[in-house]
Amino acid sequence: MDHLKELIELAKKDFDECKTLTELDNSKSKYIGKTGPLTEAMRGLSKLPNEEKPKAGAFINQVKQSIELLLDNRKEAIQKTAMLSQLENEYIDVTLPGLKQSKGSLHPISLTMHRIENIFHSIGFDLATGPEIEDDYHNFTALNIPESHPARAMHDTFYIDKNHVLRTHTSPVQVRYMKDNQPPLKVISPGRVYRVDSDATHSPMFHQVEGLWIDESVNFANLKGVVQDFLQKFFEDNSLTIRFRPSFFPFTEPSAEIDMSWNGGWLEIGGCGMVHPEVLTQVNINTEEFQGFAFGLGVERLAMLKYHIDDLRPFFTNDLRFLKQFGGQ
Amino acid sequence: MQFSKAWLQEFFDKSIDKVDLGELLTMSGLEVDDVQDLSKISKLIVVGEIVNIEKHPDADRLNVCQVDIGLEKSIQIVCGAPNARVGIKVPCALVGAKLTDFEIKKAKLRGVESDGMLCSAKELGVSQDSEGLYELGLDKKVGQLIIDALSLNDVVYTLSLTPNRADCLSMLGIARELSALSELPLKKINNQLVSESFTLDQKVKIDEKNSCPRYCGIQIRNINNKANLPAWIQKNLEKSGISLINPVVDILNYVLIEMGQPFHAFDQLKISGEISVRTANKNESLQLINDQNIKFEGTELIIADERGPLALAGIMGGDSSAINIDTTEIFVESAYFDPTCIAGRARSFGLNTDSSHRFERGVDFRKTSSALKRVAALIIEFCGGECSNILDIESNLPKREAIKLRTKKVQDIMGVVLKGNDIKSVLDKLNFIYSDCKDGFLITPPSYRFDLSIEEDLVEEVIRIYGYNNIPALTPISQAKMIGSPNSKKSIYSIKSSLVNLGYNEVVTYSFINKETEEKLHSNLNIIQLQNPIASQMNVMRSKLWGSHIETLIYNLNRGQNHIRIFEIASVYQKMKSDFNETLMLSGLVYGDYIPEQWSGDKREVNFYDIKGDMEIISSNTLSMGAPKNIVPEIFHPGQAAELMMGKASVGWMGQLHPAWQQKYELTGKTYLFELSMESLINSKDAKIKLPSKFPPLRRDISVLVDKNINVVEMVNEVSAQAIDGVIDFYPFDIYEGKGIEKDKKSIAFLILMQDNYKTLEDEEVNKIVNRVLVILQNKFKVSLR
Repeated sequence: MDHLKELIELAKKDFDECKTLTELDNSKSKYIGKTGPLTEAMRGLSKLPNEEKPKAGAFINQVKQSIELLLDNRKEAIQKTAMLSQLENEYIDVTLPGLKQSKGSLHPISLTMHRIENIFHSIGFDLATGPEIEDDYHNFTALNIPESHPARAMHDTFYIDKNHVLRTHTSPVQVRYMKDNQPPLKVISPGRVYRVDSDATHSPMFHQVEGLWIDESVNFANLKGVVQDFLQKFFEDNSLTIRFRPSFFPFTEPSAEIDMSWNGGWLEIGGCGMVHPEVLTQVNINTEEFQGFAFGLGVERLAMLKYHIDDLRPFFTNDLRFLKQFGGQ
Repeated sequence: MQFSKAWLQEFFDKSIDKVDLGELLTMSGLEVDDVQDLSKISKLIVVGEIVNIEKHPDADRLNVCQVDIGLEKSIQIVCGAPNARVGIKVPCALVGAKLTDFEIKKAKLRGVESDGMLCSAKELGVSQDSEGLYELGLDKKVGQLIIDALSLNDVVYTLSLTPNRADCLSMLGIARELSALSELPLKKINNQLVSESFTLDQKVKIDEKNSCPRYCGIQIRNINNKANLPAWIQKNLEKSGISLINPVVDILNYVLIEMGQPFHAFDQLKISGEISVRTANKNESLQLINDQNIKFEGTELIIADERGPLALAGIMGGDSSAINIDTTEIFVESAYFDPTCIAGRARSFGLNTDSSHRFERGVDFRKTSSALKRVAALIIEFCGGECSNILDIESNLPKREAIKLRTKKVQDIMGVVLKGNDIKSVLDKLNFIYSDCKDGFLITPPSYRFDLSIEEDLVEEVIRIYGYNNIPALTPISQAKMIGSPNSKKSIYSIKSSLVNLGYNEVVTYSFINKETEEKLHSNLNIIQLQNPIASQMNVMRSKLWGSHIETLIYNLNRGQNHIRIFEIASVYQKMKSDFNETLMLSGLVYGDYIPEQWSGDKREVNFYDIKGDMEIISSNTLSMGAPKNIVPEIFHPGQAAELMMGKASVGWMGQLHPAWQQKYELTGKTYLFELSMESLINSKDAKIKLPSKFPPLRRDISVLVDKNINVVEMVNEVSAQAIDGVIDFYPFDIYEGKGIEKDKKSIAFLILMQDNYKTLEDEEVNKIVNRVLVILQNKFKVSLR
């Protein structure tokens, strides 16, 4: 039986020499395989006297367990080494840039419009759009700008034919909306507008957002409140203030230019006023029952201030080096 | 409207220095556009006299002038002005003087030293006149500071007036406004007295009484139109930006600016017979004083004598009866023309005169005669002569009806509780005629105001004088009603975001494009042309966005960008029978490599299927993208274009730019374009959700040979149409042509994914399904199994 004890030593030496699981498997069969010495010893038990059998059996099992333990330990060690080596081989340079499609971006005008829409949506303003090739009636007449009124000259209008123009403001959408909806109503209409004008601060095409609120008692002070609230939210600055300056628009009375406090001075940001009774009458709204206000804001102007851009032209030249900077906004 | 503070001061006894004029006028609605403090003009600009001139040795256009500036020695200045000559006195800026946008330095001009600069009126900043040197009167003292010599201790204001405030197109009007705002009383102005020396013998007949409700005239004889006008008239005019012409015209302009009444002077000797104010006859014509020859349509209001038209009423006089420095006898007209008969008329002839500008906005019809008296008095004072009595024909003058202003209406509109007395005080400041009535006041607008006709107009007046600044900013109180957002409409923003996530950059391009692009690239012959385009390359409205996107592509390629993926959502325009149609389109362009060059090295050019994949991702399920059912637009490669369909309707196209266009635009790489109507993208339905089966899916692949020209989508559609039980997906995963395959065939490997909701599929069932698929393909497309 003593040679069995030596077997443990032999197995340990053998196993330690194995570098791979296959080698270890081969070695294993030398000791605890079907034809290995331990199996043989077990078979030899039957030749022993009965009283020796339990003791011898227990001894053989003990040896077997020891060898199995050695085997497991070695197996684990080999696996660990293999894993370490695999990991070693699989190191990559994680600082290399990620593989990707190029970075997309929304246009700053879209970003600005979306922001404006969201702020007004938060107090229940509906959204409306209308045609850009507008008829004379909706662009002018319905807005109290009769033919040959000097105010038409203020607009530098693009003409398509006698009765059609490129809309000079988004105000005609108001008219269409008021025809289709009954007051009380709150709506903004964003979109492209056109004027015959082109330089560093004017573009023949630009974007406006027009707002309209008709109710029983919304007044001029409320108009100031809404516009100021909007600008504070838009620029995330609750100390921002506005001032109204008397002005003239044929479709509002009283009318005002909106100036916003900016860098210690005032900056013109839009126009507004109480909707002119003539405009309400045109769409069959009773002016003794309802009144309301309208305001118009230039989207490019807001975008320029928000993103600190001091030139209007990059908005329309679409240089990708400019546009891509808005990715992730 | 431009004016000097010194002139405005003449209307007040008390000094107006204490008020912040700019702020006050702006906050009352008379926007101050520009303020120019003339006293800021450099103290290093003095009166200089040119005492000698020699031609510059090396420059034809330059002169070397010796200029006396009151020092012992004259200084040398090189000057290029055409009117430089010995004897004239001009502003001379010395070294160190600061002009409007630069500083004078000692310099050498083509080798000759120059110790200063002789200035034009524009360079000095006193007027816009940049023609040659500003010639000062010979009475000016050499060496005197220019500020003193020209009385420049003054401030010039430029107002940008809105069309409703015609009453402020005069010094009197601005003074009136300032008085209301500042409570400084206006100086009492005595009516001008002129003694008539003879009886007017010019007959005048008004045919158009509605267009010309008042017509005044006066004859003045024996005038000297070469006389010198006093400096105050010239200075005030120049500071108002009015050029000097001749004494009579200058006086007319002076009173025009002073009182807001336009005049016209005719050479009496060039008028034959009776003057009539009438409508022009068709075919009549008139040579205007600006040399423009106009042919009448037969609707214009004109002043005519027995021979024909003399003037375009209220707009501009004619050449034949114009006065000049030799004129000795004049007939001066001072009229009130109805705004509606002047409005738009000047513009239709491309004219905008000081006269038409005021008439079309409204001129005070109570000052027609007194303003003319003022003119006559000034002419007689400075040009001599004697005058007739004043002719004054009046009919159908505008009526000023009293307007009711309710105190409550003021409060309702303002949102501020203003008392009756507060309103009264505003009306008093404005000097309005009013009386108390139940609930408020009855107000009669003054004859100089043309913007007060309804109650709201008066509310604005009250708020204006009360102060827009005194209106609080109040949050409105309203019903908290939700507006919701319909699930059937995807937001445009979400579609844009999808594209951004696919690596597209959004662009915004002009809605106009050039006609040639529209006709040839967009194949649109039903053009929407702009009557007044801003530039010839932007003269029509576009029916596609592609032309603009190719421009954007080229712009960026020229700036070193080579991986281009852009999109835009904008309207395209279509001419209908009597109207126009606008469709909101998503459109875009892709050019260059599929992904930007990066270290992984898998570089390839973008292809049709890349773009198609993007379209599939952003579009809803209702969209199908098949082989073209209509003729492929000429912009596309005929073999690489697909039509995008929703049901039976075509909602867009995508494809490769035709190689011929690619060559024309000199593009080295392939360009892919797409467009899709937004309506097809926005509409969506709540998806019907199925729970996944608990049983494992089984996959079988089949590989078949089929004719090359058969579209794979038809094969997929055919199998799907049969709705075989157990098949949950069927699509091609490999397509091969070439070596080992017959020339007119292609090999397609399909994947059949099968699953049952209630049990695991048995082999036998799977084989049955695969067989059915095969039979369908064999029957319809004559495929053979590989």
